[in-house]
Amino acid sequence: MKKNINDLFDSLSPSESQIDKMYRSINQNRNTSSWHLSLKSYALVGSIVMVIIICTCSVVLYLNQNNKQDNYQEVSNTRNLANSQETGFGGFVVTTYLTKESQEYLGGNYVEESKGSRLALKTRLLLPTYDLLSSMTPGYPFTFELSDRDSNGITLKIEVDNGQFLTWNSESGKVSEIGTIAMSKTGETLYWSPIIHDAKNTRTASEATIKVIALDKDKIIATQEILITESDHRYYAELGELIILAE
Amino acid sequence: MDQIADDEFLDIYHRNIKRVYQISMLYLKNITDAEDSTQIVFLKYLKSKKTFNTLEHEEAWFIRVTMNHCKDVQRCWWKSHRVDIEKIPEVHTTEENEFALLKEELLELPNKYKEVLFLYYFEGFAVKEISKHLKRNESTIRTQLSKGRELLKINMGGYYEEKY
Repeated sequence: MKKNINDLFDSLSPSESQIDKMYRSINQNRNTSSWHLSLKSYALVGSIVMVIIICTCSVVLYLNQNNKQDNYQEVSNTRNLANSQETGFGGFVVTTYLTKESQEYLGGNYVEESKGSRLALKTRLLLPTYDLLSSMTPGYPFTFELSDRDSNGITLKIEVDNGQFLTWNSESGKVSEIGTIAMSKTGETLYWSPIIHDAKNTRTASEATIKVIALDKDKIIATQEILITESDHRYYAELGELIILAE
Repeated sequence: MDQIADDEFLDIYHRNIKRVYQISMLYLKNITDAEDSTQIVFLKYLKSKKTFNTLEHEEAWFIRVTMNHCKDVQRCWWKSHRVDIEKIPEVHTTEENEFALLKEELLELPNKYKEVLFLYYFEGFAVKEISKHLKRNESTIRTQLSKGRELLKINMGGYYEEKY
């Protein structure tokens, strides 16, 4: 009896009873999800009403408390804009994947299933939960770009003071350790891993500062920092002020 | 309520169940995980409410999502450190034994060879199409096909007219 490779693949086919069993299970899960969804939508409406009431009460207090900070931010933004106009440097665009649910892990298909978000100036944003065993990516993905499309000849140097950078080929699963300094092409994704391997043990960084540096040959044109902080096993990212150095 | 009607889903399910399960088996090598993976892929499809312009588009989506999901599962720590209790030896005739051994060889091949062999021989894709699906060079696909055959020690003949 001569078998060929198609017989081999054919032998991996599901039986009729398996096909039926899986179909029933999918439908069951599908209906459960729908039921949960409708229940969730009622809860959502109730929550929205509550949130509106709470927000209305909080807005006045919030505006008063942040008045000073807003003024400061406005001043620094104006200064950055003035610098940008003087030097022609348009600034950096730093993109990562954010979450609204604290327990959400980043899946391996995150590029297809999630939407990258641009980090905002002096705004602390929640990143997905990172856990060495459960997370499908080797760290937090950060994409660095120049907002000015005509910034030819400008290279990006990325430094971090805690944890390390990795690159990851999601197709092959290959992870390469880059270390704490990386030269990045615009639009390239680097993964920041909070895991620190010391000579004695392995620990997790509770905070780190990523510094993005724009270089024209060896001359530093501008820098900007991303502050990563950890609180209750949740990581937050915040974009610091853009500093333009070149005249 | 779901936008995808039951009968529409049933058609899509029957068109793709075999390939989704086979790919899952190729990667995960055991029935329980392959069944779980198959169900998750179809639930992902239902959740995404995706519409396909052509059958080729539908086929490509299911192949890609299944491969990605299986790679995710393989990367999980618990998966790589556990022992499958399903690998209970079965009693076979000599011919069945040879076939079972060959099947085991196929499952133990690295992913890059398994997926190329599956798409080429079973799905009937040309090298150019596989290159598009897997985002690899055509020359890489040819090398991997050749290496995959070599590793499998395939001398079974009859099916190997080249479609380059």
